[in-house]
Amino acid sequence: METKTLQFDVVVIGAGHAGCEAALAAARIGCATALVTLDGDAVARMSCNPAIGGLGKGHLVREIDALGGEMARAIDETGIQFRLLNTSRGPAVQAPRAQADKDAYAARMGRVVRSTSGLTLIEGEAHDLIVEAGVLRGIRLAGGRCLATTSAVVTSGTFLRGLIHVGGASRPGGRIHEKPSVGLSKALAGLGLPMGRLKTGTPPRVLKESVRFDRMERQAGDAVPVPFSFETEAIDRPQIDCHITFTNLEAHRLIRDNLSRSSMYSGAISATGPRYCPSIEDKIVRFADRERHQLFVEPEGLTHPWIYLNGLSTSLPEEIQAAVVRCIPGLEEAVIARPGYAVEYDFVQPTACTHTLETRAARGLYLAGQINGTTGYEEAAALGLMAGINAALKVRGEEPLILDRSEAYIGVLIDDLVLKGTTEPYRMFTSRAEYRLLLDIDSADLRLTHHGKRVGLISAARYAKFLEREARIAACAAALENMSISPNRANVARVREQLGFTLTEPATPARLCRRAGVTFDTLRPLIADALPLGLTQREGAYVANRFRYGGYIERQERDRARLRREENRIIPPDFEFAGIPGLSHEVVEKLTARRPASVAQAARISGVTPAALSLLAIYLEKSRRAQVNAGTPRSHRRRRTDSRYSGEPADSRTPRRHPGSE
Amino acid sequence: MPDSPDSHSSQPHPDRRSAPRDGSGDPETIVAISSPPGRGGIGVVRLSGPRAAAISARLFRAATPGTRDDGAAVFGRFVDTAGEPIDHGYRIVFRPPATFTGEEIAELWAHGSPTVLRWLVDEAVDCGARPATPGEFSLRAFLNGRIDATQAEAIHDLIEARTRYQARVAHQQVEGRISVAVNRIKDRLADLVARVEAAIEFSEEPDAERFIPTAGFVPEVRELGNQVTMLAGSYERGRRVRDGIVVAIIGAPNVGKSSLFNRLLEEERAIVTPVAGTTRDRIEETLDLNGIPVTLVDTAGIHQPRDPADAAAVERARQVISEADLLLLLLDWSRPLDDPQRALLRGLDRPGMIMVANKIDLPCRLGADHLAELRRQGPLLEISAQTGTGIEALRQLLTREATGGAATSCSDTFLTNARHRDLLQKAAAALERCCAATRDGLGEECAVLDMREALDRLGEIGGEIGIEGIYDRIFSRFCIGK
Repeated sequence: METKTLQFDVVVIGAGHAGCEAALAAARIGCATALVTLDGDAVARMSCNPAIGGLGKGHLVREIDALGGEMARAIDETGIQFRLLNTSRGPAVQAPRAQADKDAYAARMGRVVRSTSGLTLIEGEAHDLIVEAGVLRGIRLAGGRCLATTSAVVTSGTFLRGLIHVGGASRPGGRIHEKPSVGLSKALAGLGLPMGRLKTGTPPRVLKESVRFDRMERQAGDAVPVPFSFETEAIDRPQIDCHITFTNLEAHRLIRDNLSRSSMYSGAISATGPRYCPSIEDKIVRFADRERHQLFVEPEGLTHPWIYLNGLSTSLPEEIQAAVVRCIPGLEEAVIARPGYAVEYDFVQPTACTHTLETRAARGLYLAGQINGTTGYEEAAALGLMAGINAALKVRGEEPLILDRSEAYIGVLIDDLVLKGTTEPYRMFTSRAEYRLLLDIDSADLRLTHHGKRVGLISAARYAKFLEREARIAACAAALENMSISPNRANVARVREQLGFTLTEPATPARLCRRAGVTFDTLRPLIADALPLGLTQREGAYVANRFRYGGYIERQERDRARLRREENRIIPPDFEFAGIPGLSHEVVEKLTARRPASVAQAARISGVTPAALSLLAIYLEKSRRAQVNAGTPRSHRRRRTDSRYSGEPADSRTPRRHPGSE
Repeated sequence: MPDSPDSHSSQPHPDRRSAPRDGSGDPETIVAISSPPGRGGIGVVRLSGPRAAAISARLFRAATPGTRDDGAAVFGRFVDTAGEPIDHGYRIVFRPPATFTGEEIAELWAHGSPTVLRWLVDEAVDCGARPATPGEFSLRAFLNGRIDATQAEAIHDLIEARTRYQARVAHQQVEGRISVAVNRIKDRLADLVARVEAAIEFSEEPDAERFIPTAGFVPEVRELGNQVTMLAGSYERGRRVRDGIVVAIIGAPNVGKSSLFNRLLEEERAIVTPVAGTTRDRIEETLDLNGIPVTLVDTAGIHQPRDPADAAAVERARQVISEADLLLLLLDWSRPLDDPQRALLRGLDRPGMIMVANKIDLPCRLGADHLAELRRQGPLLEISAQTGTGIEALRQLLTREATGGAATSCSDTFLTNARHRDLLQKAAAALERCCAATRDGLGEECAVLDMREALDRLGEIGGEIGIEGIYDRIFSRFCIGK
C-alpha cells in the first residue's frame, strides 16, 4: 500500500508548552514545520495548576520572552491575577507569577499556532522514529503515514506510556481521559536511549458554585500588575482574587485512615515524584505533627466553572477525596468536578542529550520538556524553545544557540540536565544559579535579546525598541556614575529631605545607591536633569539596584569571567578519555557518556574529582602539543622519501597521534 | 587553588600529576628511600610501578632459591647489576591492586646506612626505575583511588614526621579529626543556608516565617565564623608541632651553654672545654622534647670579638637570636653578675626568653640583691648542667612554651596543613562579609552568596555539600509544596 510522504524541515511531536514553543520558533526562523498532536483541540493545555511563573519559573518566562518565545505574551494576555513575588527582598530574587484563565490561554496559543505561516498542525500519533546509521530520517505516524525530516523535537510530556492512578486503580492515559503514547516510547528505547520513569500528581477540581469563598481568606493580586513580556505595556484584562483555606485534623484523620487506598501508598506507584510538590498523603505522613496545611483556592478562569485546590494533590479514591474536601472550611458543600490523580510516565535521562538538546544516539532528534525529566510549564517551554531554535539552526546550517550558566536560567537548566541528569522531576529554583544576582528579571532582554535577534526570532521593530531601551539604561548608568552631587547648601537640604542624611562630601548618585534606604525613587528628584529621555521607573530602579548590589555584582562578574575562561578550555569531540592513566573506570565512563565540551563542563559532572580534572587538563595539553608537533617530523624511523612516491606531503601521511595515547 | 609549598595539595604541579609512562605505555616504576632520613637500624627502599618486582629481583638473590613473591618477606643478599654484593636483608613484593599505591610494590629492607640505601636506589635506577619525586607514592595512591585528598595530604605529613608527636598528629588527620571538626561547622552552616534559601524560594509557603529565626541568621553566622577562625588559628600551634621550634642557648662565655646543650641532648655533641670561647660556630641538633621536635642551637659566647673569626661567630649568634622561637639566657650562678651579663639581660629582654641560672651545684655568688632583681624580671630556673639538677623542670617548661601552653596529649585538634588554613581563612572572611552585608541592609540573596562561598571552601577540606544537599535539608525539614 502506497502511503503519501510529506516533507518538513522540522517536525515537532506534542503540542504542549514545550511543543508550541519549539514549533513556533522553528517556523518563525523560517523552517517548514509540522506540529504533530494526538488531539488538535488540546494545544497548550494546563493539565496541572492554572498559573505561570513564580521564583525561578518567572525568571525563565522572562528569558523565553527575551529570546522571542511566546509564553510571556500568552500569559500577559490571559492572566487574571498577577503578583510580583518577594518584593520585600532584593531585585534578583523577585519574579512574577500569574493565575491564568487556562482555557483562554490554550485558545490564544492555539490561534497563534494555527496562524503562524510555515507551521502545519497535524493531528495524529507519532508511532515510530525512522533513524538510519544514527541519523534521523523521518517520523512514522500511527496508520502508516510518514513525515520525512532530518530534524524532530519530541515533547511528549506525560504521555509516554502514561499511566493514570486514582484510588489504587490505574489505567493507561497521558492526561485524564486522554490516551497515552506507547509506540514512541518503544522507538526511543530502541535507539538505546536511557529511559526512566517519573510521576506527578494533581489535586481535585471542584465546582466554583459549590464553594463558600466568604469562609476563606482573600488573596488579591497586585494593584499594578508587572507583566511577563518586555513587549507588554500594561495588563488590561479584569483581575480577580484567589483564596486561602486550611486542612484540619479531621481531614488528616480521613486521609491517614485511607492511606492504603491511595495509589502512592498502596505500592501501585514506584516512580519518583517531585519533592517540592508532595501529595497531601505525603505531607500528612511526613509531617504528622502539623495540625493544618495551607490550600490555595485558585480559579481556573474568569468564567470557568471549576476551582483548583492547590496543595491537595492526591491519588486517594474519589469518594475519599470528596469526604476530605468537605472537612475543609469553605468547601463543606463542595462538589468534585474532577478527582485528583497521579500520572506515571517515561522520560529519557537527559544526559543522553547534548547542550543543544539533540540526542547523541540519533542526530537530528531533539528532546524537550518533561521527556527531559523536568516538571513545570515554564521549564518545558524554555526547553522547547531552545530545542526548536537548535533544530531549525541545524537545518539552516547555522551555529547552535547554547546559553551558559552565567547568562540565563535557561543555561543553568540545560547544563544541569545534560551534565548531571536527574532522579526526580527537575524544577528551577533561583538557588540553582551561581550567578543569581546577574540573572534578575529586568536584565533578561539585556542578556538575551541579541541572541534572539541572531537566530531570527526578534523582529526588526522589536529589536529597534530594545536597542533604545538598552541605550537608555546605559545612559542612566553613566549619569549615575559620572554626576557629582556637591555638598552645597541647596544639595545638602535636598539630600536631607529626599534621602534622610547629611551630605558632607561630593558623591555620585551611584555611590549614594549603596546606602541603605536610598532607592531610585528617592534619588530621582536630585538627578532628574541628568536622566535620559523616556527612562521608565523600572529601568531607573534596575540601574540603581545594580549599584546597590555593588561589590556583589562585581564579584559575580569576576567569577563569570573565570568561568568563561574555563569554558574555553575545549575538549575535542573525539578525545579519548580511556587513554588517560589514573582515571577510574567510573570517571572514564561518565566522561565518555556525557562528552563534556570543556573542562568546566567536566568539572560539573558529579563524581569527576579535582584529581581527575587535573589529569584531564594535563592530557588535553599533551594531546594539543602532540598535534602541534605532528606538523614537524620527529620520528627518525619515518622515511623522508615517502612523499616522493606517494605524491603527498610527508606530514599528511603521519598517522594522527591518538590523544592521550602516550 | 595554589599549591602551598608545604602541603600536598590536590591541585598538583602538572609534572607530578601526569604519571608519565615509558615506551610500553605503562606508568613508570619509581624508587625512593622510604625510611626516615639519617641513620637507623633498618632502612627501606621502595619501588612502585609495573616493573617493581622485576627490577627489585635483579638486585636480590634469595637465600632459598625459588621463593615466591607473595607478600612474604624473603631473606637474601642485595647485589649490584654486576652481581657484586651490597648488603643482606629482606625483599617483599606486594601485588596490585590492594597495595598502598594501587600498583605493584617491592620493598628492600636493608641495614639503615644512608650509603647502602642510596646505592640500592642508584642500582634500581640503572635497571630502569625513576627516582620518585617528593610525595609521589602518596600521589599515585591518591590517583589510583587508594586514599582521598585529605588522607593524601596527611600521609604526606606522616612521611615527613620526624618524631612521635608529629606522627600522632598526622595520624589524627588521617583518621579525619580535622574533617570531623570542619564537618561539624559545615553541617550547621548548610542548615543555615537551607533556611535562608528556603526563605527566598518559598516565601509563599505558610512555613516561610519559621525558616529564619526572628533574631536573624547573623548571630549564628558570627558564631560559626569565630569557630572557623579559631580552627584556622590552630595552624600556628599545628605548625610548631609540625616544624618544631628553635631554641637558642645564649649567654656570656663559659657560663655552660654547651654543657646544657649536651645535657639536653644527653650525648656528647658539642665540644665542651673549660676554655672560654671554644664554641666558635653555632651547633644545632634536633631533640625529641616530649614528642615535639626541638632544634637546639648552641651559640658562640656573645662577647667582644678578639679576632676576625670570632667576630663572624658572634654575628651568627646574633642571627640565631633573631630567628629563635625561644631563648634560654644562661647565667652563671657561681660568679657575680658582671657587666657583660648585665648588658645581655638588658639587650635581650623579649618575649620567649627564659632565664636560667646554671652551676647551682656550686656556691651562689650572684648576690642576694641581684638574685632578687632577676626574679622580679621573670621566672628564674635554677639548674646544674653538670649534675642534671633542674633539667627535667627545664624540659617541661620548654614543652609548655613549644605547644603554646597546650597539653601534649593530642586531645585537641590542630591544623597542620597550610592549604587547609588558607581555605578556613577564606571561609571566615566570607562569613564576615555575610555579616557586613546584612548590617549594610543588603538582602538575604547577598548574605547567602557569602555563606555558600564559605560552605564551598569548607567543602574543599572534608567533602562538598552541593545545592542538592541543601535541597535535601529543605525538603526533609520543612513541609513545602502547594
